[in-house]
Amino acid sequence: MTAALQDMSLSIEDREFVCLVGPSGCGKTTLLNLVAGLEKPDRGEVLVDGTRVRGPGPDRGVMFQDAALFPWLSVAENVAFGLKELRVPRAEREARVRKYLSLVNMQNFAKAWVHELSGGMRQRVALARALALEPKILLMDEPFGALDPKSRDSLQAEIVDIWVETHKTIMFVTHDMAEAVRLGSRVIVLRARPARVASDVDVEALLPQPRHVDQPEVAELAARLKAGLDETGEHEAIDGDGDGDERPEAEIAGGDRARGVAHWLGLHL
Amino acid sequence: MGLVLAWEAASRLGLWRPWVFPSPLAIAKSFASGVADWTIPLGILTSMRRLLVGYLLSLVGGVALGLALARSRTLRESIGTVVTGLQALPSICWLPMALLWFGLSETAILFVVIAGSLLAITVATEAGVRNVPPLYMRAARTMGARGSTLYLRVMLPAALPAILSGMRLGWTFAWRSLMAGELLFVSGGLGQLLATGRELGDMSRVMAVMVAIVTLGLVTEVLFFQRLEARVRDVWGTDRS
Repeated sequence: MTAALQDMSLSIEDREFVCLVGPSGCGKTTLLNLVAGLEKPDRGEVLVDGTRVRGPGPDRGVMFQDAALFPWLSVAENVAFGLKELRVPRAEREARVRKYLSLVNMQNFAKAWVHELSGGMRQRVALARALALEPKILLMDEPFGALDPKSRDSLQAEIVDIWVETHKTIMFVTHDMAEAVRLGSRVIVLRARPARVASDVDVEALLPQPRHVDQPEVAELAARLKAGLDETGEHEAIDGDGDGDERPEAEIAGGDRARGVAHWLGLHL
Repeated sequence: MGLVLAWEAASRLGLWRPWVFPSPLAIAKSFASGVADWTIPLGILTSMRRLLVGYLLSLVGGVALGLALARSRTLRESIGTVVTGLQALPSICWLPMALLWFGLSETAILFVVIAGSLLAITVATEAGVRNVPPLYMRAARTMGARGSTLYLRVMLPAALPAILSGMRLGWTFAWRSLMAGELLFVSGGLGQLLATGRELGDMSRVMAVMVAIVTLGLVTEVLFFQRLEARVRDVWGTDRS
């Protein structure tokens, strides 16, 4: 981790689809890992529903850029992995595997081995695997970053559908501004060196779903946010409904320390 | 087959003396009489029993030690060099020690077999475990896996291809150690049959026992290890052909 997060407070509401976007080194992945419990802050804390995060847990599903499926297990066994860990009874387990594989349109590949799947199919299975544990929160670290445009497009549409249907809270890290605007109900743009929030936008108020990457408004908003990021000046606040009630500003300072350190981090989900 | 026929023909032409290098027919006869008087089947039984017991103990101990070495820096720094050094020691060099500790006993033979194969499995397991992508462990932890289940359900299966090649090497080493041990110290088994053949100056008997040893090696290789590796290749998709 190259980024140091310091003096930052961020609140995410229930059912928000928050996209964290910014250049490499801005600490977005560190932030996600802190919420996932995969990294520990030196100081400060992450609260999920008022409970302090002490490590990873099945209440927070995680998807990585690499699908990280287990090659020694079949597709169905991969999806069942966490359920077995939680001692979910067999019948219930099988029902959930079927349900979530169907949700990501992979029901015909239950018996396939991981190496037989394309990159996009692997991410679908990884999504099913995360959803199968029925977490309240889904944490996604550039999950579509390595995919071809076609797979990315269909997975983007599906994750929005899943968000609308299941009311999950989603935290989605990406470096692609257009993807952030296309997906998120809220986009938080982070700046690197020093790492801090450049803008925090209520996209859903500006452009309610459904929206598409090729839509002019999406491209325009993405371009504006990008322009704000490229400037060296103060952060740009784009207020969704224009009545001046912009979100509380989060401050991320620092970035000069070599190791990932979160000095103060209060995150309420 | 052609090779065997040419060999038989050359033997009959008297190109060399039969007691130096017997003909295939003579070896087959000797083999048949060895089977008929039960010396070869009993030898195989004795040797295989020792091999299996020693190898299974090596497998359990080797995988456990390899896992421990891969996970503990302290352990690596304290005994890592010893393991690497001893692994390079030809296994028969353990025999004098085994004899002093355990006398002319079954335990001494087992000790030599284990000493010969355990560390090969350890070294392969350690390398395999250390090459497991850390992302697998992270992903498993986000799904609630922790403690020993992380090892049993993620670490070991992820390292299986490497462990398997260690198992194969370990089997070969165990087999060699056993034969060397049995040859040097008379206590039944195929090694002893070889030694007896030598004492009687019966070359066809020696070669009949060698045929039995080669066949056993081939059978375990084809029936067990090659099948297992083919299975792993199918599942993991690592077949490069």
